[in-house]
Amino acid sequence: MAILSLSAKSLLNRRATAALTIFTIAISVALVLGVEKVRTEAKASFANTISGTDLIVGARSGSTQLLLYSVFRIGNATNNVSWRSYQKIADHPEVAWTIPMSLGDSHRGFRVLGTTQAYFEHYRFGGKRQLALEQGERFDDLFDAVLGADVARTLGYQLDDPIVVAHGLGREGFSQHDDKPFRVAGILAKTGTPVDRTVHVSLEAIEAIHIDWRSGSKVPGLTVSADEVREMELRPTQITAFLVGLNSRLGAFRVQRFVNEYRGEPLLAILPGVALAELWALMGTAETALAAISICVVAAGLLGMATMLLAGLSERRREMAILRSVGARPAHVAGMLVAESVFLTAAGIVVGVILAYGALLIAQPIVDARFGLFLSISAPSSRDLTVLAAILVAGAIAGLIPAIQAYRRSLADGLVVRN
Amino acid sequence: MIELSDLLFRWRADDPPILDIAGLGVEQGERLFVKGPSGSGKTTLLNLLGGVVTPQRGSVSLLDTEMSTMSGARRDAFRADHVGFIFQMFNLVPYLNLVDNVALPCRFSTVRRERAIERSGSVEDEAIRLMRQMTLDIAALGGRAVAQLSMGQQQRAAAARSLIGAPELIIADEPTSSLDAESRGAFLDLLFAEVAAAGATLVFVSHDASLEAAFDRVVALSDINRADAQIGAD
Repeated sequence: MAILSLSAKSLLNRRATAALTIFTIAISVALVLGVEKVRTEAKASFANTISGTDLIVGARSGSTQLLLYSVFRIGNATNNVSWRSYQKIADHPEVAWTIPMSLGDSHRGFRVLGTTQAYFEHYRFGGKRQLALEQGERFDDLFDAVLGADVARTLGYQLDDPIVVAHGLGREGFSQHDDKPFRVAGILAKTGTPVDRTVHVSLEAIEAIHIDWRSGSKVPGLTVSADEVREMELRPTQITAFLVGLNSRLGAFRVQRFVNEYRGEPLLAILPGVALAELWALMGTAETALAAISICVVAAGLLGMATMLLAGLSERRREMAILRSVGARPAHVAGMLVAESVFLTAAGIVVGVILAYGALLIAQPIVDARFGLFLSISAPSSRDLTVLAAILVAGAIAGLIPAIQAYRRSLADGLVVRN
Repeated sequence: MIELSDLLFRWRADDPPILDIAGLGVEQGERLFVKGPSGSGKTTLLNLLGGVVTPQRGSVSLLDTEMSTMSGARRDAFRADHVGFIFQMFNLVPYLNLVDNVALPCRFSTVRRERAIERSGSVEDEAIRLMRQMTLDIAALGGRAVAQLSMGQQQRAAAARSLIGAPELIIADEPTSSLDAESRGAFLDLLFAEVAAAGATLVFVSHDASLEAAFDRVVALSDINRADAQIGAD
């Protein structure tokens, strides 16, 4: 107790350097907690993006690529799936439902997805949660659009607002389908998935806006007005991919094999869970790199603390000699240095946790808006607590460096400092 | 009280000896003045009496207890219980207030803590009593940082600290060399009075021969130290 009390008073006496050291450790602790938060939330968000879907089918490419463009709206398909093939697979006796998806257009940087009502009925995310409308209704008219929550919030759209879809992907500089504007019919509730950043229209609408287009550009001299197109039979000839729900999950491998061996065109069926795991494994390298950087930052903070204590030892030799004269053992002197390290690290952890939560509070809406990643504010997880405990132990170990030095010096100096 | 016999000490095995003393005894309650110039081995003698180092040969006995055969931890504990120190300067721990500085030995010695409590009811009260005895105005000085105290005030606080818990032996290492003549006399008077009141033995080390008249006995280290390698011993 004597040593703990002396350590605390000694630190208070050097409060300016102690505060700087605490702040250094706090920043590293906040960084570690922040990285861990982003990692766990990203992983959870990633895993929650799609559920209840047994297979994803697209043109034959890589499973990761198919997952990325169909679910995460990242990248593009190398080829499409013909409507005929889609129907044939949809009619397979083991298939309960399908969600066709047509991607390729955009609206002010957000992807436009052509699909059917099946999307609203069968798409599940975050453990079987169904899509819900916050305002309005599903698309009913040919030029109705249903916006994801982030699209509506970012662009400030309300129900019945007109929107124009651009041909191709990108924020600007593409041809606009401005002759066939859409109306915002509904706005979906927030899901924390790429759905929030998607504009949903019917498959027929995708056909309608491309009726006077061929090979990615408008046919010169051919103009079909919005009213005229309503009278036409709009049947898709191809889609980008489709999601499949089966009557029984036991049939997943059979249907997957059926698709992969389909002779009509080269197709690929993937199990979403397996593809998600493969993709996360790819991202594991980044995860490891982040963890390594965090460890290095903490190590730098703790070494800085050890350096501060070491640097102060020369000035404190007389203090150590006085303590020795009143009965302190060299082990007491060393213990004092370790106790100071533990105090500094513990204070750094407390301040770091406060910093981390403060930063989280500020970053939460920004990260959500910019990256679609919702960082929930919750109590530290057991993993967080384990990491913090490990930092405390590491702090005590770092304190051994000056402690050993102090032990040796107090043995050598004895009661009178010999310069 | 103190018995040194056939004592030989050197810092390293291949160094020449710093101290080579055939014998030295100090009686209970005696006030001994040990004089010697810088480098004569005075500080080394204090380290031996304090049990911080042990001799390569011979014995150091305090209160009929042989120090040289004790473990380091036991010597530290023995020192905490039975020996009070006053140094030339830098006697006080800068981050402790005056009362905590005076009470400091009681943090490391149960024996001295219990004696202090028995004497005044609590360690703090005993510290305050001793400071008053040493004419330190606790009301005026208690709130100040110890570094703001005058050298005389610091030395009187150090004397109070050495006396708390009534250790049997007080070792003073040039405690007056930083004081002016007037403060020096006043300090010695106070120290003698309190040492006598506590019934303690005083070993006072100094190079200042003008002080020796006030002591019961004077020993010149050069007279008892047979070692001639004295350079740098302090």
